[in-house]
Amino acid sequence: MAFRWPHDYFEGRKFSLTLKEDNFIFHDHRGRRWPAFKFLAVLGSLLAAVALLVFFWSLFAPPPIDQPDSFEAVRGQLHAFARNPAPALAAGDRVLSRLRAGLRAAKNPEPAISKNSPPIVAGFVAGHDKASLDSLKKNQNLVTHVCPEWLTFTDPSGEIAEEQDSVIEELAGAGKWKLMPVLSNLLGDERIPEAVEALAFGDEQTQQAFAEKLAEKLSDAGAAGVLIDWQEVEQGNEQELGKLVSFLADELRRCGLQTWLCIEPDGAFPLWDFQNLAAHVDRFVVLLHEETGYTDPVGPIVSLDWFQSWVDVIAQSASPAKWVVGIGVYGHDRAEGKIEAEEISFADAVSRAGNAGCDGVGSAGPSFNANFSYYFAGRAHEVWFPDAATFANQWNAVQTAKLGGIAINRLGFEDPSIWQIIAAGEKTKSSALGNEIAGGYAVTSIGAGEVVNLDPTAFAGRRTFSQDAEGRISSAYVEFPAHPTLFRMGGYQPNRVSITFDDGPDPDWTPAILDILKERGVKAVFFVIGKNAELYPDLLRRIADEGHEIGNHSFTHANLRELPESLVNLELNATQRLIESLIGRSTALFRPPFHADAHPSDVEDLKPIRMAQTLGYMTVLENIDPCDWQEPPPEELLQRVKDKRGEGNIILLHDSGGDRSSTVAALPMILDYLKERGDAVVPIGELVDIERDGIMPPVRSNSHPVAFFASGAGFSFLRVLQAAFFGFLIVASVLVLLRTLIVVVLALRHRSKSSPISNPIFPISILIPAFNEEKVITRTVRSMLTSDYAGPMEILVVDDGSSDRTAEMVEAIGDPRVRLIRQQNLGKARALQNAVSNAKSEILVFADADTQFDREALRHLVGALQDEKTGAVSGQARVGNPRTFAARCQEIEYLCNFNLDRRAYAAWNCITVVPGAISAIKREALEAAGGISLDTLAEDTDLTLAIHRAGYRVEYAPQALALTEAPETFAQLARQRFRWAFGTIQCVWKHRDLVFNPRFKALGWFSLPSIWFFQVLLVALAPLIDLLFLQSLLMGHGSDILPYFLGFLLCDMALAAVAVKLEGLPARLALRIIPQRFLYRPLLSWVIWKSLLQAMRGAWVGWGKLPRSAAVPATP
Amino acid sequence: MGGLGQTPPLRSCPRYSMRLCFSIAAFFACAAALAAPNPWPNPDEKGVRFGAYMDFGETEDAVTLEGIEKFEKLAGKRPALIASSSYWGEQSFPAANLRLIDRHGAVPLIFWSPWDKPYEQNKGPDRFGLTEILAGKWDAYIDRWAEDAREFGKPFFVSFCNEMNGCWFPWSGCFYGGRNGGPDIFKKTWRHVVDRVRAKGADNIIWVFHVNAFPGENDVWNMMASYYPGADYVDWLGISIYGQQFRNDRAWAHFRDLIDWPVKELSAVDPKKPIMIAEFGVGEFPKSGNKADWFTEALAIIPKNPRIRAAVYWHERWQNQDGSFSNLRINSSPAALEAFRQGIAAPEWIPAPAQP
Repeated sequence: MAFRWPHDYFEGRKFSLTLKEDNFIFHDHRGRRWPAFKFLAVLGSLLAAVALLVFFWSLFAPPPIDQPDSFEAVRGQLHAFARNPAPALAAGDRVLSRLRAGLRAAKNPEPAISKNSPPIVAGFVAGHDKASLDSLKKNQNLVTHVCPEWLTFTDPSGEIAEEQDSVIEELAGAGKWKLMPVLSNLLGDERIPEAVEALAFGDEQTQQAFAEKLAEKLSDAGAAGVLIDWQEVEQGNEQELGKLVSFLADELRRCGLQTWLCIEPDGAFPLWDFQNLAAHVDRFVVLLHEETGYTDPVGPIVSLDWFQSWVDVIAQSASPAKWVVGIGVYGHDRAEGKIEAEEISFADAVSRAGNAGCDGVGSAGPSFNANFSYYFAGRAHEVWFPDAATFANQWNAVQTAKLGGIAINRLGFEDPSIWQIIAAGEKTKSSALGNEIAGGYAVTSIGAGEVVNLDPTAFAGRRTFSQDAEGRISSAYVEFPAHPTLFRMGGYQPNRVSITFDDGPDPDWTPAILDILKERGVKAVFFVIGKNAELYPDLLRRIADEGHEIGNHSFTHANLRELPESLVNLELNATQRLIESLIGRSTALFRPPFHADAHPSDVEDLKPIRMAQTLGYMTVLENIDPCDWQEPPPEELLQRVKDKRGEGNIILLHDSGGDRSSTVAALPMILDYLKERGDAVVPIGELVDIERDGIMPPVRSNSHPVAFFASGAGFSFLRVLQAAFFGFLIVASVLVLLRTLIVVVLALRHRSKSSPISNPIFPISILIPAFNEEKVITRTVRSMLTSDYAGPMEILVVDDGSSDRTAEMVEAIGDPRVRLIRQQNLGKARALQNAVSNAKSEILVFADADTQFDREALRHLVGALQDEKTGAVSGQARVGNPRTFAARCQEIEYLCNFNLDRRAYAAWNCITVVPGAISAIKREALEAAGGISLDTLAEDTDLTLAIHRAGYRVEYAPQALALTEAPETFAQLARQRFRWAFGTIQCVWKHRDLVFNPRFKALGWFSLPSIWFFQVLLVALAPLIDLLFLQSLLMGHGSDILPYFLGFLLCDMALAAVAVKLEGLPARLALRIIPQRFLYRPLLSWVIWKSLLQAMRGAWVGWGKLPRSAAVPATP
Repeated sequence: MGGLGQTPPLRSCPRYSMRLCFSIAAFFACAAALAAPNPWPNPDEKGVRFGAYMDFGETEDAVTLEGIEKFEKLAGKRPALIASSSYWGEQSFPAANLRLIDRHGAVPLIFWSPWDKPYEQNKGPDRFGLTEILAGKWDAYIDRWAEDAREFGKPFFVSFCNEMNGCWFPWSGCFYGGRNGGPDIFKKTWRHVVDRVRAKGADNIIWVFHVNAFPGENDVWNMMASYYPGADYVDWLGISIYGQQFRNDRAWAHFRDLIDWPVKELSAVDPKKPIMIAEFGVGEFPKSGNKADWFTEALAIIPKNPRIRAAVYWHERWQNQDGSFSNLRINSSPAALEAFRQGIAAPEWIPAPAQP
């Protein structure tokens, strides 16, 4: 890639053009080449533009995906069925009588609740449930206490743990309400009574430490107190438990914190020593959430009679105001054959009823709970749910009994109309309730599973309320409201699981994962990113060939929620087109990047799902996300999968986007675990019972053939381009490396060969063409006159019609060996011709007017011509004016490239140029070569090649030093280099028959091809490579190209180091290569392109002349 | 237990090599094949197999790897024997459970109980009554179950109609006339069922005659021996030994007293069969007694009896009608857990073989 000029061409800058304007190499006599070229270029660009347009059109035009019939039909599987008669109520609960007895015993005076304290409206919230927080925000003025699920206590040692997705910080001080965090004994879904019991039986120290820790946590959180919710604890240890609660309450009170105690309305109720507890605990929260538990046979959640009987009991206590009633606002949906009912929100309930087309639904006596039944996906479901009527009756019961208030379990699940009742504050009448039911505020779902079909419909519903003689309120639904609804598939299969890999394919990890899957005969699902599939098409084919499913994960892993719809379409279509073109199948599977959690709680989350569905996709979410991107140790990753296995049927892993060695290491362990567990690992198709052709339908050739062809061809072309690019990079690297090696070896060998030179005494003629050189010519001529050359010499200065005092300066030297020849301004080549014809000697030394010879230069130069086969010899020019950065760059370039190359080339007799600045040529060789020609801008190169052609050797005498003046600005340099480049191209074109010509050995096979490849092709392509390199860096694939880039740079450095060492100069000079590369490369590319276009143009244009600065100091 | 097989030759010859058995008259070969299936190849091995039932839910058959591993982590030792139930009311064979336990490296013990929903104790016989079974009403189910058992192929224990000398399960003798032939109906039913199962070739079943330590009705007719269907029909003897289970019992007992004469009585039922404590456990009632001590004693005493070759701990916590809890879990208190872990760590308690 480095631009290496093998010589410094003599400069035309001081001369008028030496080219014959009507007969130079590349001259287009008929003048048709340029128009033809222009025409072809325009035509080519047009075609490319059209192809690009068609390609993009094909990406925007959605490919038709045949959504599997069963997927489309999923909503049709939902319908209502005749309701069973409501089961008889659990009349006269058998514990109630004992319970009354228990409470009566507690009728002794309790510290009374101040009459002024307003009724409590507490709300339970869960940090992981957005609906819960939304509800709190909406109703913050009605809520007096917020009870977030925050602290849990499940370790017998008394360790208090905080819930991970807690919102405690968000809640602290966020509203007028008070914060009463819940302290539970809940671990996941399981109650751990042993922890509480151990603490109750534990020593005082442990209890004290526990109390202090609790108080500290609560105070730090800005809480007003704690809500103790210890369930399933053995009440038989009433003494110890009661003492523990009292102790904690006292400790907290000292810190200004309240203690509320949850009481379960079960057989253990009478065991509590309320009389004693009341002196310590601030409130009792009796959890009247559910009469029918979630594992009980179906029935009303809370029938009014049951609720009322408990309220009646509590009302008999000494201080009813001390009691807060926990009210459940969630419903139960029990699927046939399932042990546990699903807890659903009011929105879920009405959405299911509406979608199923249920009628006659309402909350009426005897239970005053609503219920309905429906079929979905072949399963009967029975739903019981409380609504505003249920709540109104419970509210009224609490008001009548003058209890302390209510605690809503849990915010977000409720019928929004309950807030009207709470806002009114008083006992409610049916007439006070509005008939409209809000719709569209929540995301609801039906069925189970992580494969979803979305119905985005949303509208409000309507119902009527009525009141019976006893004031009990009923509701009757006229029209159910609609919420955006996810129809879920693939659940209810405890022993089937799908493993999905997102973000691939990736050359490092995908093959390793595929190998593991293949070895075990497991079929998985790969949600690929289009841009990665484009990079690694073979991996995509392998995934498909080995029977795995492929899904669409967008083209760039963009956050589709935030993209305009047109770009979302582009992301999905481009990926789909690519998959189609690579494997001949489409995919009906889609997974949104970033938001694959199976519980979108936000209407915003639904946008990608809705759009994908419009395009024909089924969306695959996941419930088992072990976060493998955090790169946990494999054992930890396995444990995370185990912990979450029960929560869903789809596991999310990644096969790209980072170091996936942990995933690869954990995969066999996960598969072993699943196998031992008895799970069948299946692709999504099997999970939702759709055959492979439904999930990945073969592309039908008759559907949108143009778009299919265009996208396929486009992606193929991009890939070919990329492959070609990388192929070229590899070939170029190998060649650069090879050439570097050859040059280094040969150059070193040349040095060992050079021996002391005898003292030649041939007569020589030194030929100096000069044009406006008054500032430097005297110095130049004197440097030669004072040389130690022993033989006779003459110096011919040809004044090419200078307009300054050049001629006078020469005449003023006054040495008889100096001859001045004047000619009218004809250019350097003609000046040289003129000098040659006037020279008397057989040995001609060529020199530039601005080049000062070293004292020994002539001796070394001429000495090298002693061999009779040698026709020409080149001296070594160095930059004599390293004052500017541009000049210093050239200094290292002259040293490294020109000098080193020439040393090496001399070893194989393939020097391509003896420079006009310092060289010597035998007259016989010059004549055999046909003299100095006028048809290229680089006479010296032309002449050198012609001398080779005539059968002479061309030598290099590095000791023959001369200092030359280099352009001092980049603008001047560019102009100089353009002339060099154009001249060189002319020469190699003129002498193209030498290339790969067996007669010319190294010249034909090495040095001339080097010019074509390294100085023309590579330099011309350099900007393209830079551009792609930059793009790769930006796209994060920089590591692909970086090695080549560094490789090239290292080669250059190596060359520079060798060159610097050979000349005995300080090694740090070699470092200049680095800035030189970055500044030179664009400049050299530019001049090469300009030269190539010029060659195409075939006509000449003039260029300016440069001022001369006489910056090279006189040689001592 | 290699020499303990008392089964008739015709049954135990492998189906495909019957002719081989007779024609080559390989008496010794047959004798070897006749032995009851043995899940543990080294008969001379000393010690007791550690077994457990770990709360597999309402129907005692929700066997999950999670549940097993959770228990193993608590106990610090992997049970060689994992117990679960197959209630007739489910009308199914717990094939998935057997395979899961087998893959996990343990041997399954199935409580095969002719019991119908709702699975409530003390309610008396239901549609799976012993007389119905004897009348052949459930033969098709038994056959299907036997075929599935044969299909499973590996040795596993079946405790059929456990604790028949109590009077809480519907198959107890007290529900079938008690002294007036209750145990006889039981024995007939047992033989009927075992014959049918064997006829289907399910030779991999190890039959466990599983009594309760203390009889429901303490009378001569209700002795363990009265229920014994005969040495040909039983491979192992089993017994349930529980300490205090209910808060209101207020009857804490030391394990040494609980195991003493019941095991003696059982040992006498058949002097040759190996014995398994098919269930044992105790609740956490700190005011009644010290569970940790109970564990320490039990785990030390059991291995001292050379006839006891396996013992299954009942790890469960449940709520009773009166709201109280029976917490038999080994981790019902930190002290209990520590005692159990220490006791079970003794080398006499043989765990499941190490997995590859």
